Amino acid sequence: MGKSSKDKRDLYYRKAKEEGWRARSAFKLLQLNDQFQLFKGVRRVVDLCAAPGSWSQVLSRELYENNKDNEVPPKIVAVDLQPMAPIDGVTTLQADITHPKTLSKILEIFGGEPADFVCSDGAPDVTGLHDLDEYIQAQLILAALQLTTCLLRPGGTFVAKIFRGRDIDLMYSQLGFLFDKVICAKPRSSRGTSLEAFIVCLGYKPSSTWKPSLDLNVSTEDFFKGANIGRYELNDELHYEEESRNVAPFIACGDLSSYDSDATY
Amino acid sequence: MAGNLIPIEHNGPTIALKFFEDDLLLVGHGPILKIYNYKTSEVITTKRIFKKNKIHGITFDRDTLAFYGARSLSILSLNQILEEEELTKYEKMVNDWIIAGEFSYNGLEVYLLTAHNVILGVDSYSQTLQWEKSVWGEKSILYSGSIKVTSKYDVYINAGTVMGGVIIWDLYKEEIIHNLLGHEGSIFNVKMSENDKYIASCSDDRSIKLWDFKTGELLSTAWGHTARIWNLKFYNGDSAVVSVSEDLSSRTWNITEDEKLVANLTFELHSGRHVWGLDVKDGEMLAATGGNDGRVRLVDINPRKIENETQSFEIEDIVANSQYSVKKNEVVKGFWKLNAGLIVVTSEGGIFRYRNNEWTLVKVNLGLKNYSLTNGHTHKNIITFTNDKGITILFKFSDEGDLIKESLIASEVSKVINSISSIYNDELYLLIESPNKKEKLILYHINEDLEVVSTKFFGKGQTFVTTCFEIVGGLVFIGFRLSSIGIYDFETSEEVQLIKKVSISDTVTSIKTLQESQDKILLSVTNRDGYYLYIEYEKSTNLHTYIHTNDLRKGFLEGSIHANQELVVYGFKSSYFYIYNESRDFEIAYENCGGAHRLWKLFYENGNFDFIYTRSGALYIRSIECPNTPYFLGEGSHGREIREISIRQKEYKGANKLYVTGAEDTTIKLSSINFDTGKIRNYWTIRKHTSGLQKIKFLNDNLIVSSSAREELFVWKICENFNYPLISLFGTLNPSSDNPDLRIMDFDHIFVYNDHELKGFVLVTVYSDSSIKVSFFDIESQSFSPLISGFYKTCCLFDVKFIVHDHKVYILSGASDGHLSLWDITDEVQFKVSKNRLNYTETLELQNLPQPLNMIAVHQNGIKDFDIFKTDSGILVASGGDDNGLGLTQFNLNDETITSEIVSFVPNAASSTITSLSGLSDSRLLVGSVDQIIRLWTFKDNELRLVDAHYTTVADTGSLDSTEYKTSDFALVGGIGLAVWEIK
Ligand SMILES: C[S@@+](CC[C@H](N)C(=O)[O-])C[C@H]1O[C@@H](n2cnc3c(N)ncnc32)[C@H](O)[C@@H]1O
Repeated sequence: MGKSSKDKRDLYYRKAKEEGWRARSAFKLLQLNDQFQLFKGVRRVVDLCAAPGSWSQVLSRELYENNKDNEVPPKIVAVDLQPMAPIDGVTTLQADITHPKTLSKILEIFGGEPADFVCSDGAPDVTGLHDLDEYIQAQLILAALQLTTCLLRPGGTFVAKIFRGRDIDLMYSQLGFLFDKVICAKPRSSRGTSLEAFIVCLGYKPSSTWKPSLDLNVSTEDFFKGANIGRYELNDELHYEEESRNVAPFIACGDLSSYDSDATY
Repeated sequence: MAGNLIPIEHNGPTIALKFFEDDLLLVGHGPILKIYNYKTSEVITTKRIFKKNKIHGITFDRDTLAFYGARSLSILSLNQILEEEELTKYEKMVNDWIIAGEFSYNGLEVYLLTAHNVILGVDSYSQTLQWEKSVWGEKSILYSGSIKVTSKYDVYINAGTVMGGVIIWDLYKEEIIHNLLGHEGSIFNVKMSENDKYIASCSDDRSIKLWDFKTGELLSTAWGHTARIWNLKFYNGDSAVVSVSEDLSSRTWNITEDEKLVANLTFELHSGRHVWGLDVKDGEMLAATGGNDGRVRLVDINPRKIENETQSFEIEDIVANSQYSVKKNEVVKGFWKLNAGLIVVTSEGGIFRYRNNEWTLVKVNLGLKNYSLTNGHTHKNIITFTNDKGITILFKFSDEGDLIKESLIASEVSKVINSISSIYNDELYLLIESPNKKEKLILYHINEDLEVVSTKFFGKGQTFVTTCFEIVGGLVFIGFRLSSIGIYDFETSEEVQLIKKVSISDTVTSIKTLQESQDKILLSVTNRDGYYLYIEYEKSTNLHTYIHTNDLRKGFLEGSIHANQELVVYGFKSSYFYIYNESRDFEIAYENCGGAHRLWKLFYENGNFDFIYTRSGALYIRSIECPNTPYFLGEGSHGREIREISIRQKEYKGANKLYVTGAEDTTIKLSSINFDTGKIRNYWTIRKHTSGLQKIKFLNDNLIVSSSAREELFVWKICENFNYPLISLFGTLNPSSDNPDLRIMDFDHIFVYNDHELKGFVLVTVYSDSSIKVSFFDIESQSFSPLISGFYKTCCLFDVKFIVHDHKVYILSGASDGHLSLWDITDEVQFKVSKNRLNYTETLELQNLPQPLNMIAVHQNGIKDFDIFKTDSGILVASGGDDNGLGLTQFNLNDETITSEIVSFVPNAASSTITSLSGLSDSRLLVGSVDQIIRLWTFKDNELRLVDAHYTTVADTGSLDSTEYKTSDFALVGGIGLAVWEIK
């Protein structure tokens, strides 16, 4: 979905090599953190769609390496369809996050304890059919949100990659029901010519009327039934309905003196 | 918000296609349904089915039709579609993406397969949900699936998962029948054959697998597509499969008796990338395919197609009916198609005629041994054979095929290497060439009675070998190797002119007259390297101008045919011979003949082609008849994202305006638009850039500039002297290095005059490495010279404009850091300003870009587009950003120190990146965003206010341009597709 500008010679790419990050994506998380202090007080994290693992590397450095003297070690779980080379302090899981079984497995690893932070940098294979690609991307975010509603502590943070297309404001609106603040953030390390951005959801506020529960025969669509987050729900009487839309405030992160990912040198 | 924005027409990816009744084809163009009579290409009706969603599928039961796409569903009768104006009120929704839809056996229900492998049963009359069915634990996400209704109780769901599995389940038993494993990656299509014998599936792994439905056994895996396959269909009584792909090809596959899937036909029917839509009219073996380019192609997919259209004859077949004994190594040495039949000569002098499917020996002429240079005049039934000694034998046949006359010409040359012919005023002209440099070219005019009417001699340059010639307007145009053309006076035989280097290299392969008038000749010239051009030749001055230039980029280009005002070209690409309609940009036919090294000739008449060639000693005749269905329906546009649109202000032939589009596919299209009907018409697809276009703009009525990555910038010129517009390359801005990798993000121009004469223009270009350059383009010399060079910062510059205000020249740029910056370059530009235009001076030197005078942070992130409006005190700048914001910034240029101020800013002016904006009259602004909403704003009293907003069906909305026509404004909106809007 992102416009492809194939030159890899941008500065972030080189800098990632120099600093030992597995992908230039690391800078996106670092710049998001600079803006929102995402890691503050965070001890337990789920990193979804994590391969090759640069976000996990950042999390490991911030929560694990820098806090080695802490008695209780932090918990970092990384999940991806692809295998991932090990990282200190990170538990990796190779699985599909849209599959209910995967979510149950992650819950198990946390053993009933909540997480402070859930992030997802997932991107599906794009087909070129824009509406379908946007739908699948939304499904990936919803799958991450499913897990989030089952695992995140109240007040916790959820960050996910989005592509700003025609229906992204539906997503903003629905997340608005579950979080205090929903922001669309664009790190400077993410190309301005790409539609990629990150949705930063701060202050999780679980619904008082809806109890999320994972069931193996429940699809993502069924899961959110009754959640009252403004999603269209199936009735016998089929009708046309516009779901509510809402534009999240936009924040560019990373300071202006940082490198420009659109420039070529 | 009253409707100020009115959508008129939409061209975009075509996903849903369905043949219906005798001669109808239902096509989903985005949310709009068009019903075509596919035999006449008449559009029976155009109706919007959905408010926003695209039609992804169409299915029907008798005259009830169901349309689905995304989460939308609409069940309508044919009468409703034809008679009611407003159909979107019938749109219904479900809670999930609909992958497939099908009517139940008795038609009372519609089954919908959702992206989570659930079937919803909808009553087709009341249109209410009746039930949901699924198989336990398999509600995983699907990219594809299909529903096969076999009987009232036997309904099979074929679900393609994202993990390489195909799950076949029984709807009413809610049980899995097979889980077919073997593919890698997501499954993109799965279909069951009509008689329930087979299942075909395709996936990310680019293969097609054929499975036995009963046993679930994998029968065959077929390869051939070079990218993902999007659609499959069984046809011809389940003995063949047709597939369409991301790789742009459509292929057919035969199922052999031992149940193997074997490749058969390959077509390239669309342009850009992706073929999505597919349906087959089984009885007629006619396929309809829908591309990202918005076109529907109709193509004969009869598995016997090639056999039916091709005849091949070994030498033994040719002589079979005659008293003729074939000599050792005897082969076909020459042929010509006459009205009387196909005449063939063998290497031993046997002359045969093929007529009414029968070969007959015409005569044996041992003297004809090795007379391999064959020419002819098809309508006059004349054929000529020339040997290397300079003897030409001529035969004339009656229409019935009898040899009625023979004649001989002896040319006084030491040797012959070439003999070529041309028809002028319906008479045959034969040109004989000797390899001896001192011997002139001999041109014979031969009449119907095989008499030589005249003989002319033409001198030729030292290193030239002739390849083709054309006689017109008292001149002979002779094409040579090394891409040059000699022009001779027909009467005096004098050389009038020699045009060298028509292209960079290689041979001129054809010269054809397109038009002749009192004072001008228009010729089309093809070059073997793929380059072709139109030359306008002025008789009185002997001046020639290239008024159309283009590169075919399809291997070797061997010639052209001008038919019905369209340019048809042909040539070889690796082992294939192709015939291509270049004006309308589509493939007519291809033939796997083994490559260019053979005897071959293409004959054309009334839309029918005969490609005759030899291969390993045998003679092949491939007859391509003009199909009785149109080649395509719907004009369509680029098959990749349109990055920029520019509409010319001046009207073009009445109701139309010309416009150009530049796309991700690296091409430029020159087209016209009729605002009354919304109809577009493409004239040319220009292939010159080697990377996706960044910008393209009309500078005035006939000059265009385009830019892209790799530092490419070209100047183009439009010519309107003929029945359709022509476009030629007029200038090139040289890159700064041999291996350029910068993107030229934007440019702007100011014209430079010498008194009243237009001398050229000053061009500012901005680059992805933050550099800014200004240069002067001289129209006479067609070349650029540098004026100013410098840098902004280290970030990418997105856009730039010139401002001329109060005898000063400014540059305003927008960058990825969200700043607008202003430079005063009055001194550095060197040309003086008077009356808002620049005056030409001669000596120019390269200057450094001065420091910017003013910088203002308007957006948080990149400024994607801006437009400027002049005010008394300076300018107002409307800008749109990646931050979803729309800004209005005022620059005061009158005071001693220049000041700027944001006078209005709307942070959430769109829910996604604002990519393009265009100023309209009355302080109005049209704004496009990737949220697919077109918004109309006003900024009266310096305050931005939203007037109207309307959803556009064009995804990845990246460009728009507007123009006034009659009393309204009109806009073209581009992205993946192109939409036409009226702005009231
Ligand atoms: C942009 S990469 C993530 C990069 C990562 N954050 C890093 O910094 O190294 C996107 C990942 O999403 C994963 N992905 C896509 N769909 C998924 C799914 N359904 N379940 C799990 N992972 C998925 C892909 O395998 C891919 O590795």
